[in-house]
Amino acid sequence: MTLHDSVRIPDEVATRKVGKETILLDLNTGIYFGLDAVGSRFVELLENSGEIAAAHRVMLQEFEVTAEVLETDLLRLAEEMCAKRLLVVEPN
Amino acid sequence: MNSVHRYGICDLVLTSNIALPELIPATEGDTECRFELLAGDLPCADGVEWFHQWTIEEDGITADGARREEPWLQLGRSSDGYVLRFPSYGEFVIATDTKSIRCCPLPDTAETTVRHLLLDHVVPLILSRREHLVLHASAVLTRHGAIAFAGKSGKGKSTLAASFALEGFPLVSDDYLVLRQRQEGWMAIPAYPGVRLWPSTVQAIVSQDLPTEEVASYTVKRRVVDTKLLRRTNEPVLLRRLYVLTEEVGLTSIENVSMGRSMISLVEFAYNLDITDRAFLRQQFETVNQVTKEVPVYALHFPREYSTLPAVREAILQHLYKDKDIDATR
Repeated sequence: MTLHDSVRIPDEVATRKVGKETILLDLNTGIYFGLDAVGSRFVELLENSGEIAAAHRVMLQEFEVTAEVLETDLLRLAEEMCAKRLLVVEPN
Repeated sequence: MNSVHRYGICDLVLTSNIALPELIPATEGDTECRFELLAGDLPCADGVEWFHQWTIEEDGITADGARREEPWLQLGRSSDGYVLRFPSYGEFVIATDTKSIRCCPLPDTAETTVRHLLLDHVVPLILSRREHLVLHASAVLTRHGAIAFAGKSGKGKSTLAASFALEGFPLVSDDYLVLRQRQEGWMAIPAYPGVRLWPSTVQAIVSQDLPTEEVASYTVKRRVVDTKLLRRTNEPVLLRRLYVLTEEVGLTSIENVSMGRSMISLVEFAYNLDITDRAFLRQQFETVNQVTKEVPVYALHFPREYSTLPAVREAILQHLYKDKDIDATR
């Protein structure tokens, strides 16, 4: 996965922001997942644009972090969410 | 077996072809659910598509060294409705509209066990389809409203609720708690009288010889139903707080829980008859979100020692009463 990938939250996943966190429900399995404030912001931005690069640009302004560290963290989170089918990669 | 008995349980009017002495007879209201105990050798349901099972860990270790997990309850669907199979005791078939329950017990299953499975396992699952939310929790009434204790089995829900009840705080429910949304907030709906406790708990926290009843053939737990000693409320009451119980060595502490963690805790302890019903899951997701916004959830860490129960009660009450947001006139 790279910054240039586009992703989306599938229809089978419901999301709800509660405070600074986001809770995701996989309707296929009934399993709930929780994201902290950083993960929550990432998902919020993905819901708007679907582009990891766009989320990376915005979050770089909002968090005190280097571009490289943020890229590593976001890609790791995106891959983990894809593995759990909470995100799907859109074909180019 | 042909007589009809009418009872109330969590506002549900239940009729039954056997007596259910644990419940209070219902004097009014139309029948909302009909229970029928069938002869033990009749098949209850054919063509069942099993979709979920709950397991309990057995004490024993298998010959290959692995810990054996036996299915305690299997859930399935047939043309007759939902099928709940307790492999060691029998089957319950719940009509899809939840208006009827049939039970086909295995030949050796005692009627006490059937009643326990019905009242404490099947009914909460039925209510999960009818009510806004049903939690694996016990609750008592304080002067500021109800407080509930949620937790896995063995974490002390019933012990804590009984401990409060013995000090004069009316019992709302034991082991499962129905929540219903009203204009004034989330209401805790009283279940039915009594609590289920381990014999050692009865001995430790009750200061007199208390008559108790058998719960079921497979457990040594006892049902304590003395309504003078353990008062209960009959009316729905506003739920003020939910405490998620965790065992701790040492000090009692009450910890704030983030809203996200609260939501996951509520789901963890929510009953759900059909985990494959996406529309229901989505609805439950919304309900849990609403409850999280209105009912504060805390983690209660406390040592599992009977001698500390007075201090645990005091800590909870101090924590509740110091909350400036609670209207003291309620």
